[in-house]
Amino acid sequence: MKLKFFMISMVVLFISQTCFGLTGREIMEKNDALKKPDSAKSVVYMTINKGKRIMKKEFGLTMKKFKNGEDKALIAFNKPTKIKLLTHAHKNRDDDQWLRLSSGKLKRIASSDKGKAFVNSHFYYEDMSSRDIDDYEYTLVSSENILGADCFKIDAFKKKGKKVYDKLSLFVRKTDFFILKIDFYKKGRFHKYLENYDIKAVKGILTPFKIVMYTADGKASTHLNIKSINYNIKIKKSKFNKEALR
Amino acid sequence: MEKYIKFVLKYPKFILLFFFILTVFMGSGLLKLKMDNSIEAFMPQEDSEYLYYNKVREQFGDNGRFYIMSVSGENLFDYKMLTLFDNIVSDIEAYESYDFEKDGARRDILNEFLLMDQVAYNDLITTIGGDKCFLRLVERKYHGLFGEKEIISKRAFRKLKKSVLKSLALMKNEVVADFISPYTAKGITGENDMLESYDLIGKDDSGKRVIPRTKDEIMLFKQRLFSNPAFADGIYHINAETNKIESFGLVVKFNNVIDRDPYAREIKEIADLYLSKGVNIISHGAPVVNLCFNLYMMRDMTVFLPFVMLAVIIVFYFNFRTIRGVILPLLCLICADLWVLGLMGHLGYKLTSLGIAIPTLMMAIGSSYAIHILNQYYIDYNLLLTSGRRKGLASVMSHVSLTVLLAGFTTFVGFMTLMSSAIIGTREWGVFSAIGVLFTVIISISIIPAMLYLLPQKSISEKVSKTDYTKVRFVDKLISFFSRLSVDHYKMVVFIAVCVLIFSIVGLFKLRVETQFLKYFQEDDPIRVNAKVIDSNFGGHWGFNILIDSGEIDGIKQPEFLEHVEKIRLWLVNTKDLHIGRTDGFSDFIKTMNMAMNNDDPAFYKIPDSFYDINDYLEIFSGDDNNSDGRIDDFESFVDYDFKVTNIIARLHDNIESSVGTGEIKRVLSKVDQYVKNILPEKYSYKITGYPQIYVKFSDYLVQGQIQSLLLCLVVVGIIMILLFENFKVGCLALIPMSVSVCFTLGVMGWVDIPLDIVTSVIASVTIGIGVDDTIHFLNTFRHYRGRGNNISDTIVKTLQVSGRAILYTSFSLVLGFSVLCLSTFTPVIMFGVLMSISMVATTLGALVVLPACIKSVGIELKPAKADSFIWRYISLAKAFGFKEEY
Repeated sequence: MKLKFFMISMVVLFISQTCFGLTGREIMEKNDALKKPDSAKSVVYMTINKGKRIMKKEFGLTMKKFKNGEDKALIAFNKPTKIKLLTHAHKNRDDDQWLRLSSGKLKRIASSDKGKAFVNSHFYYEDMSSRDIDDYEYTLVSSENILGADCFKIDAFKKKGKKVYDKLSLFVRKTDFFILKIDFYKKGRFHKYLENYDIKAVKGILTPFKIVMYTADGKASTHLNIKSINYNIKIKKSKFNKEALR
Repeated sequence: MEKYIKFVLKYPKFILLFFFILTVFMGSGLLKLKMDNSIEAFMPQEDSEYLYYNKVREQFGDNGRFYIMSVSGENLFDYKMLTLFDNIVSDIEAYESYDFEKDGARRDILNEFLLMDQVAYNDLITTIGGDKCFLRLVERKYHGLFGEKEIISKRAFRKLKKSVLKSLALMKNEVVADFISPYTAKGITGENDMLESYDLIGKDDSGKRVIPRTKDEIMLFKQRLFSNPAFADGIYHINAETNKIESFGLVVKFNNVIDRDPYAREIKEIADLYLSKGVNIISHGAPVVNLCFNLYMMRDMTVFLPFVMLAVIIVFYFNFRTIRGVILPLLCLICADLWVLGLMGHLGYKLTSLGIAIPTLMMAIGSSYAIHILNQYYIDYNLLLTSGRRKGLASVMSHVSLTVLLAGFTTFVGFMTLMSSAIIGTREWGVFSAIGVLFTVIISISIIPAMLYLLPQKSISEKVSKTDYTKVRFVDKLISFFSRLSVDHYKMVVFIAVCVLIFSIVGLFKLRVETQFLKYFQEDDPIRVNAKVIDSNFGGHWGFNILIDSGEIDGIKQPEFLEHVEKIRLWLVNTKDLHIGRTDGFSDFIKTMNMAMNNDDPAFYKIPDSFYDINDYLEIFSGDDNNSDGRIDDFESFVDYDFKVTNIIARLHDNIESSVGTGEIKRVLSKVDQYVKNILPEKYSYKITGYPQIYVKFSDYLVQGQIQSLLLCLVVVGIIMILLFENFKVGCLALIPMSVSVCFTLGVMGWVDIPLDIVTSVIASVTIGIGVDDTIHFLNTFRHYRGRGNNISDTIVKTLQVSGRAILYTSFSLVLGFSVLCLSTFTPVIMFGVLMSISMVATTLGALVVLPACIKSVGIELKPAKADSFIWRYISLAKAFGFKEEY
C-alpha cells in the first residue's frame, strides 16, 4: 500500500506562465512536474469531526526519498495511541507497510484495500498515496473561482485498475498550477471533497498548512493542521528500518 | 327527523343522485388506502420504553426486525450455485447502494421500448446487455407479470415499465442499512506476521466478485468461512451429521423506514425467482411475517368478503322474500364500507390490524339498520295503502328512523370513547368506527326511504303482507319461543343468565392475554416451517438488545468490562429456556482482531488483557463510516458514539413445539434482567430493549386498552341510555345484553384457551356496536308499545314481534356470513369468523331473551315519569331527539 503522504505529494513549485490553450492533460502534467522535497519532517494535528464526536490525534511524519527513486515514510502517533506505521513505497509494486502497536507487537500490513479509512478519518489510504498521472484521463471542463482564486476545473476519469474513485474534479489554480480543491466521485456519486488552505512557501515549496477533507454533505470532516514542517533535512536511513520500530 | 324524511321523500331522485356521487367520490379513496400493522401505527408516542427503544434504534439501528434467509442447494459449493448466490447477493445489494450512474441508461432503455408497438422479451434482454442487476430485475418483473410469453403488447410493456420503475425507486431509497452474508463479510488474518484484511470472496479490478471455481479457490473460500468462529450459524450453517456446510445465511437489516412491506416484498420476489431456478431459499424474519400477515389478511378479506356478502344476501332473501329486501340492505352496507374506508384513504390513514375489522363492523351495523327500517316498512305496509305512499312512508320512516338515529348516536358516542385510549391505532379505530356508524345511519335513513318511494308499490309480494309475515315462518316460531321464555319463564331465564354469567366469569379468569403472532399461521404454512429451519440453523428470527453502560467514555475498551459482557453472552446462549440461539456483540470484533494479531492462533480468540491493545485494534480496524457518526459502520449496532455503551444483540427463536408468545417473552426478559442485575458490578448499568419487548408492550397496551376503553364505552352507553329514557334502571338494564354477551364470548375464549390478542380483542368492540343497536331498538320499540297502554307481558311480545324479528334477521345473516370465514386457512380470519358468530348469537339472546326477562322481573315502566323532575328538565336527550312527541 502506498503511503506517500498526500500533502507532501501535492507540494508544488510555482511556475508562472501563460495558461491559455492548455488541455486538461497538459495542465496536470505541469502540476505533476513541480518539484518535490527529498525529505520532510513534520508534526501534524488531525481533528476528525463526526457528528457530535470530535476525535483529536497527533502524529509525527518523517519522509525520505532514496536514490533508487523510492520513498520511505514513518508515521508515529503520539495521541491517543502509540501506533507507528512504516511505509516503503516502491516504484513498480505495492508498498510495504509495518505496523507497531502500543504493546510493541509488530505486524506487516498486506492489505491492498485502498478504499479503507486511515485511522478512522475521512482520508482513505488512496488519498494518502502518490497519484500517478497516468491513472486518469483528463478533460478541461471550465474555469471556476475556488476559495477566492481563478482555477481550471479538470475532470479526471479513471482508466482501468483498482481505483477507489471513478472520477475526480480537480480545481487547479491558474497562477501556479497548485490544486486548491478536489471533488471525489465514487460509483457515479459525489462522495467527498478536499480543500487546501493556508498555503505557504517553505524553502520554496508551496505547502498547505491546513487540509480539510469533507464528506459530500459537508456535515463531517477531517482537518490536518501542520504544526511544523521542514523540508530537505538530513534524516538517518536507519530510522526507516523495520527493526527501529521495536 | 320527520322533516328530513319528508325532504327525502320529496326529492328522492336528487337524494339518490347526491348519494351516488358522494359514494363514487368517497369510494375513490379506497385506491389510496394502505395496510399498516407496524408497531409504529399503534404505540403511544409518549411511552417511556417506546421512546427509549426509538432512541436505541436511532443509535444502534433496528436489530430486532431483520429479513433472514437460508440459502442451500444440492451442491452449495458448485460454481453454478455460487454464481447464483452471487446474483442473489448483488440483487439485494442494489437496495443498499444504488448505482446512480446507470440510472439514466436504464430509463433510456425503458423509454426506447415504449415507442414500439410490441416488445419481444429477447430483444429487451439483449438491449439491456451487461447491466446484470437491471437485467435480472426486468427478468423477474417480466416473468412475474407475463410468465413465459415471448412478445408483449405496448400496453403490457407500459405495465412492466411501471413495475420496474417502482422497484428502481425503492432501490434509490437505499433502506438496507446492513447486509450480512458470506459474500459481504470481511475477514482478517495475521498469519506469518502479515496482517491482512480481506473479503471472503475476492474482487477483480472492476469491483466484481470473483466466484471460486477451482478446487483450491473453493477450499480457500471455505477456510475463510471457518476462520472466524463468529461466522458459524451466522453466515453459514454446518450439518451436524455430515459436518459439511449445508446452507448460507443472509441477514438484511433495514434503516428506520416505517413501512418495510414494499422492501420485504422486493426481497421476497428476488428469493422466489431463485427458488424457481433450483436454489432452495427460506425466508423469514419480522418483515416477512408482517408482509405475509398483511398479504393473507388482504387475500382472505378479498376472497371471503364476497362469500360473506353472498351468505348475507341469501339470508336477506329468505327473510323478506323480495328483491328490494336484498338490494337495499346490501346497498347500505356497501355504501357504508366505501364511505368509511374511502374517507380513511382520502385522509391518508392506513388500515391497521384493528382497522381491518371496520368493514365487518359496518357490515354488521349497516345491515342491522337497513333491516330494521325495511322490517318496519313491511310491518306498517298497510299504512301506505291507507294514507298514500308519501304520507304513509313518511309516517313509517319517521318512527323507525328515529330509533336508528338513537341507536346510531349511542353507538357513535360509544366508539368515540375509544379516543381515551393511549394507543394511536385504537383511537383511529374508534374515530373511524364512530364516523362509519354515523355514515351508516345517514345512508340508511336516506337511501332506503328514497328507493322505497321510487320503487313500484305493486312489486311488493303478497307473501310479505303483514298477516302472512307474522305467522308462517321459522323466525316467528323462534320469536314466539323467546316471547314465552321472557314472559312465562322469566325467572328461569334470569337464573340461567346468571349461571352463564358465572360460567363466563370463571372462563374470564382462565383467559390468557397473549399474542402468538406465528400461531396465526397454520402449522404447515411456509412461515411456520421456515421459522423452524431459521431458528435451528441460525439461532433465531428476531432479536432484542441488552445495552451495558461502562459509565465512562471509551469505557467499553476496558478488558474487564468486555469480560463481563462475554460472561453474559455465554450465559444467554447456554441457558436453554431463554430461547436465545445466538448473540452478537462488539467483543467479537476485538476477539477476531486479537486472534489475527497473534498469528491466527484460535487460543487468542478472546479479549486481550490490555486496554491499549483494544484501543490500537480499533485504530487499525479502519472500516468505513459512511454516515459520519463517529463509529465504523461495522460497529454501529454494537457501540454508542462515545464507546461508553455496548449492545448485545440476542437472537430469539421459538420452541420446538410452539411459538413463543408475549407471555413467554415477558418471562425470558425478566429472567435476563434478573441475571444481568446480579452479575454486573455496581459501576456498570444496563437496560434491555428491543422489538420483542416493545411487541409485548404493544400487545398488552392494545388488549388492555381495548378492554379498558370498552368498559368506559359501556359506562358511557349506560349514561346515554339513562339520559335518553330518563330512567336510571334502564341504564343498568341496557347494559345487560352487551355485558353478558361480551362476558360470554370472552368466557368461552377462556374455557377453550383462545388467548385475548391483537385480533380477538377487536371482537368485543363489534359486540358492543351490535349490542347497543339491538338494545336501543328493543327498548325504544318497547316504550312505543308500552306507551299505548299495553301491559308489560303484551309489550314484550309485541316488541319481540317487531324489533325482535329485525334483530333476528340481522343475526342470522351475520352469523351465516361470518361462518364463511371459517373456511379460511389463516387462523386469525378463522378466529374472527368463529368468535363473531358466537358473539352475534350471544348478543341476540341477550337482547331478545335476557333483556325482556329482566324487564319482566323488575317491571320497568319506561315512561318519562320523571320528566318534570329537576334533573330531566335540564338534561333531556329525549327532548333533543324529539322523543316526547311520541307520547
